[in-house]
Order: sequence, then structure tokens, then C-alpha cells
Amino acid sequence: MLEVEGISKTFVKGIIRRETVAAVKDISFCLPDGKTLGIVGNSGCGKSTVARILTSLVSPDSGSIRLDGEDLLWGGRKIFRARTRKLQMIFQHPESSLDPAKTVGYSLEEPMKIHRMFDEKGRKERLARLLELVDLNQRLLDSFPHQISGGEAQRVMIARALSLEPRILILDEPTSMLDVSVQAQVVNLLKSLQKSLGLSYVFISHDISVVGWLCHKIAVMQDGCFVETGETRKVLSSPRHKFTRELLESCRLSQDGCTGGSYPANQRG
Amino acid sequence: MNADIEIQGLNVSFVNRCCVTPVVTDVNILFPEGSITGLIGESGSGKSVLGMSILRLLPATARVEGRCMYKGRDLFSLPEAEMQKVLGKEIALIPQNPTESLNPVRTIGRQLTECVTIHEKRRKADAQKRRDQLLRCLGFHRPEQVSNSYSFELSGGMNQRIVTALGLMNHPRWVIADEPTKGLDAVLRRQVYQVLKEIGGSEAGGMMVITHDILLAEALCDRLLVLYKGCVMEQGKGETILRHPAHPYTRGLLESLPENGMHPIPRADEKKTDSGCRFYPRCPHGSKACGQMLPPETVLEDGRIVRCFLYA
Amino acid sequence: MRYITGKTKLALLILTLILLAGILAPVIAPCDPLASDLGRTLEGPSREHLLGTDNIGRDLLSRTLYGGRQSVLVALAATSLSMALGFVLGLVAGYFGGGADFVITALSNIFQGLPGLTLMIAAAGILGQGVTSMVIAIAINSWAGFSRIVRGEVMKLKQESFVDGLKTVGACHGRILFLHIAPNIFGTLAVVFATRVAGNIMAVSSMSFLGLGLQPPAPDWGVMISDARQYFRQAPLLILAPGLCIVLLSLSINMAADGLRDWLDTRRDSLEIT
Repeated sequence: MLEVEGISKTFVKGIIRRETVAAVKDISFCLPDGKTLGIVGNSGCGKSTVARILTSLVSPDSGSIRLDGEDLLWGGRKIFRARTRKLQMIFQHPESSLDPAKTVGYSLEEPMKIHRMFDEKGRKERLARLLELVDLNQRLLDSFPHQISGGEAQRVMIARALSLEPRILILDEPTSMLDVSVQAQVVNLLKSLQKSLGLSYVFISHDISVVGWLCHKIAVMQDGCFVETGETRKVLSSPRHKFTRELLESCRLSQDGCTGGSYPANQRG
Repeated sequence: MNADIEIQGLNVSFVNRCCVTPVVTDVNILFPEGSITGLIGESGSGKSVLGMSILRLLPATARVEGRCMYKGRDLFSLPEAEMQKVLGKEIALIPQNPTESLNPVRTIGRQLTECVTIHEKRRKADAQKRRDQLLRCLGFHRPEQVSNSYSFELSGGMNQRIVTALGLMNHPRWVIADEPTKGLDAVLRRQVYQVLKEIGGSEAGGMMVITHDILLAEALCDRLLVLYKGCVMEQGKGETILRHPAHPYTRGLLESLPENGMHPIPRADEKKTDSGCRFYPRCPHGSKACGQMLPPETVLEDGRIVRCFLYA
Repeated sequence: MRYITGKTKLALLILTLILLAGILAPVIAPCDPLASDLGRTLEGPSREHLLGTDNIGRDLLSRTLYGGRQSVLVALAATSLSMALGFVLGLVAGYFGGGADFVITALSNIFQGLPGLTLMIAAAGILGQGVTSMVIAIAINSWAGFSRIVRGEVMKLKQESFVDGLKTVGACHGRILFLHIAPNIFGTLAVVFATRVAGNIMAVSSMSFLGLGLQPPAPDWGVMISDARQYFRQAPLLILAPGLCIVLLSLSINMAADGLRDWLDTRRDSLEIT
């Protein structure tokens, strides 16, 4: 169980005229094992900062993060390293998530090397198993990032995150740059991985329909605050906050949509 | 005069030192005047190339075959000078990446009036009037203020509206919008949608919307073209296509939407080639013929055109 | 697709010929470049002396063949030294930012602001004459260019999410900097290196011409031009031969560097179709 309590972060801009921007204001949530929390909001609402705080890319001004009661935030290098193994992150831009000068195989193996997991042979075996897990061809190992598609790159990133056997994956808009059919593949993959490995996800997105499909709980974020949290179904069917209603309305575009759920199910091939 | 755009037998390929890569194959479409047509497809489907080929804005390495008839003339064989008169005046582009499409060192107002003065030098006052009127239409309450600012001072959503205004300055008969909602969040996307809907209804004679956003296309367009790997798989009325998709690819695409349960299209079967039907390696209904030749375009009873052996 | 254009091929051919001539000079040179024959000074081309002789009767062809050896070596050494210096400083400045960046950027601005030749003359003056001091003087003059380019590239790469990704899997700064960021800069750096080598060969020649670098009677193009100034009217070949060599060498290096850049730039050829 991941417990996040009262996290805040203020950025300071400028050297002479100092301006402070509160990116995240007093955010708390808890995420039980094997569940998914969706964070939705507009661009610039601070949702990516939450992801970066969770994965220690940014340190918060205050607050605490605990995994099974164990503090993950304040501590030395050892705690930090242990934390990277439990919490892994998937980024928005799959093409730039891999070092362009290294083969996919190198990038995949690297986290295991850093954490001194297995020997040379063990790592190679594990690579093969990881690729199988995310349904990728072994041939990919020798290719360079610019030779693979966005969907493949995102699978590689998932495999790399999984190589450290994490408990929680932070997904920062993992499908917003992908085509719908590829997005469906990746989301389904995430769902089946959750079932088989018991992972928890923090899924950050501006696309409320994907969030509705994948997440158990949902948090709506505006200007650095969670304005509404709750069970996904409840929030989407009877939104309480004005901003949630606005967001839901914008997604629909027009009132008389025919793909929005009314596409007859018996037509499926 | 009838201002339909008709594309006949369009083939586009990119020629490289070593090879020729076909990106658009045998496209025949009629864009009737006054209609809003959506070109939908995923990355690599050739939808942008198709749109840019009409404007002749493809890179020099592209080889274009076929005809594009507009007002009795073939746009592809028009001399450069004649084409320039058509571009921006008769057919305008609303480019993708609005922020990159604006000149960062010129004020918005000057860039807007320039569209008009390029074609007719003397009409500066008219141009300014038109500019203010358009900006007001697009939701800027104080046009003078926006005109004096630079693109980097405005947000992405505002820039999108500016490039939209840029496209509309000359009252074009046709507007081609290239990925107008790419990378926008829900609220901005809705704003852009409303702008396009409005101009589609009043300002422009006809519009083509190139997009991967199926819901946008559904809400905005009367007609849809579904592209896959450079082939138009299905074309017809938007509502018919989305309610009763005929082509297996369209069906797969719609089922991938979160609203319909996110059922992905099967991955390509590596034993099958796409030298015939482009979708054959992923198609659940593939037969032998699909692997051998490109299916012909078949007109269905409800008027749409499908490229699939299931209907041939 | 990678390919090499005809222009680059020509440049590479000229470059190879000049370098080969320098390397093989002891074998192919007809005479000893230092042996003088006071009886046959300032002669025109003849069978024994294909390009003629200089003011103290040394064979011009042999001296020209030998003449590139030292300046090329000195230029290579100086450029390598300045690249190493600029590379490390640029990496640190770009990656860590803050105070380190401020100091390094300020320093490189100062060094770039000073006129190059004056700086080199001053440095050589302080360090004294000799090959080592010339190498150091040139390195001091050209490190700033490297550090600026490296800094810019690092700052660009730092934005890419793979760097964040490496941090989240627990990679330390050293690993990120040297195993991931650095290899992505090598391509650009190779091009800058090649261009700087060309510039630095000119610098060596200029310094030798001014009497601050290689010293007479060493067979060096800069020294040769310097020595031949007074005899230009009688024997123009004395200046034309080494001068042409300097121009050809610099030009071919620059052109080869351009070709190298295109060749390394794999992404430029890939078409993006959406």
C-alpha cells in the first residue's frame, strides 16, 4: 500500500525578481496493492510534477511517501536506491525515453547492471523473459531506438521498468503520443500485467476516457490540487466538482456522439 | 462556378537514392463543395501526405502522379506562379504545430495582414478590418492587443486559433486543417473543435480535416475517409461509417477506442505480405486473394466506397 | 541511407595524399631537406630540383614534402588537448548548471572575446619558445569553442526523457554523463574537431611565420613562407608551394568535416510520414 501525505512543491523562477509557482499543493492519497489510481487534469496542472516527486526526480518541500509503512522520501542513498526498485516510471515520449546511441538490448539490461542483479548469463535469460512478457520480438534487442515504432518503444520501457521487479509503476501519459490501436494494445498489456504481477499503477493522463477504462480510483487535479477523488465510476457518472463536469463535457465535444458507447456491440468482428 | 476538389488516381512515393517508397496508393476522391471531410488514419497512413499533395507542399523527394481537379484545372500541372495564386487564397492550410508555424519575431497582427497584402498590395486597411473581425470571431475580445503580441507570448491554444485565423484571412473556398488537435488537452481541444465547427458552417466553402482523433472527426465532419498505409479503405458519410463500419480496419480502429472497450487490432502476421491489400497481415477475414492484389473500390448500397474483397 | 558525396570523396583524396606525402617524406623526398648548397641558390625548376631551390640552396620539393609533418602533428596535439579540456568543462557546465556553469561560461566568453592570434602570441611569449608551449598556447585559444558546443548539446540532451529515465532506474551522474550523454555528442564533436584542426594548422603556420613557433631551419610551411618573403619576386614558387599546401590541407579538412557531419547525421535522411 502506497501512502502519500501532504505533498507540496513550489518552484522558484528568475534570479533577480523571484517568482514562486506552486506546482503541487498539499496532495494526499493512498493506493492499495494491485489497484490503479488515475490522475487527470489539464496541461500545466501539476500532474507531471506529482509523478516526478513520486520517482524522486523532484524532491518535495514537505509531505511524506510511505510504502507499507516504510518511509521512502527522507533518507540516504541506500533508501533512494531501494526506492528506485520499488517505484518505476514510464514517460510520455517513448521515442526519447531510450538513449539514441545505445541498442535497445543495452538500455534494457542497464538497470539490472546498475543494481547488480544476476550474472551476465542470468541477465540475458531475464531479458528474453521480459520481452516475452511485453510481447516483443527478440530481434529488437539489436536495433536502435530510431528503428522501432512508438508502440514498441513504450513496450520496451515497460519491460525495462519491470526488470527491477517494482511494486508500483508511475505512468506519465504513457499513451498520449500513440495511435488509438497502439494505445489499446499498450493499455491492455498494462491491464494483464497488473493481473499477473499484482502491480499498482499511478496513471496520469488528460484523456478521461482512457482513465475511466483503466483506473479503479480517480483523482481530478486542477492548479496543483486534487479537487475531486473517488471511485472511477462514481466520479465519472456523478461528478461533484465544477471542474470535473467541465472536463467530462469537453471530452464529449458534441452531444450527439455515436461512437461514444453507442456503437453496437454485436458488430464486433 | 463549381468548386469541388476531385482527386483522380493519385499515387505519391518518396524517392531516395536506393529505393522508392510508396506512401499513397491509387486514391480517387471527390470533395464536394461545402462539405467537411475528415481524413482519419494512424501515423504512417499517409493522411498528411495526401493533404499536402493537394497544396503541392511535399518535399522535393516526393513523386506525385495523378490529377487533382479544381475549377476545371489540374492543380498538379499548374505553373508555380498560378499555384501561388491558388494557395492561401482559394485553398488555405491550417498547419499543425501552431507555435512553430508562426514567425516568432513578427507581431501576430502583421503576419495576419500579410496574408492579404501578399496577394493584393493595396488592401491594407481592408486587411486590418478583416483581421479584427476574424479575431473577434475566434474568441479574442480585444483584437488590437493580440495583434501587437508575438506568438511566444500566447498559449498553445491561442496560437492554434491564430493559425486558424491565418488560414481564413482571404476567405478561402477550401481549408485544409492538419492535425488541429494534436497534443491539446480536453479543454483546448474543445475550443479548437468549436472554432472549426463554426468556420465549417459559415466561413469556408469546404474543409478537410486531417486527424487521428476519431471523436473529433465524428463530431465535425459530414464525410470521412479512412486511410491505412496509403490506401483509402473506406469513404462515405461519417455517421454510416462510424455506426456500421464495413471495412475490417475501420471496425478494428473503432473497437480500439476506450469508449468501445479498447480491443486492439491483432498484430501483423509476419507470414503475410501487404503487397495486395495493405491490411491483409492484420486482417481477421483475410482470404487468399487479399494477399495477391489490391481489392477494387466497391460502391455499397448506402453510397460509401469500400476497398475490401468482402464486398467486391 | 548513408552515402558519401563526390565532393567529400575529392576532399578525402586530397587529404590522404597530403598526409601520405608527409608520412612518406623520408622515403620519397629526393634530397635532405636541410642540406644546403650555397652554389645553387634560388634556382628555378630543374631535373635535380623539380621545384627549384631556396635562398641557401635547399631542395624546395623535399622541404615542402617534409613541411606538413610538424605543423599537422602540433595542430593535432593542440586540438586534442583543447577538445579534452573543452569537453570536460562543457559536460560539467551543461549537466550540473548553477555556479559551475556560470564560472565556466564566463571564462569561455572571456577567452572567445580575446583576439586569437594575440592570445596565442601572449601565451607563447610567457611560456617561451618551443613546440610544447605552442601546443599549450593553441589549446588555450581554442578550448572555449569546444566547451560551448558541448554545453549546448548537453543541455539539449538533458531535456530528453531518457535522462530522467536513467535517474529513475538508479543510474548515478557519472554513468549518465559519460556512458549516455557523452556518446551522443561524439558525432558533433568529431566534426568540430576536424574543423578546428584545419584552423589550428593555420595557427601553427601563422605562429611559425611570426617566428614564435617552429624555428628555422626546420622544414615547415610557415617557416618556409617566412624565410622566402624577400625572394618572392625572384622565386615565387618558394611561397606558392608551401602556401598552396596550407590552403589545400585546410580546405580538404573542412570539406571532409562537412561530409562527415552529413554522414553521421543519420536522422536527416529518414522521412517522417504521418
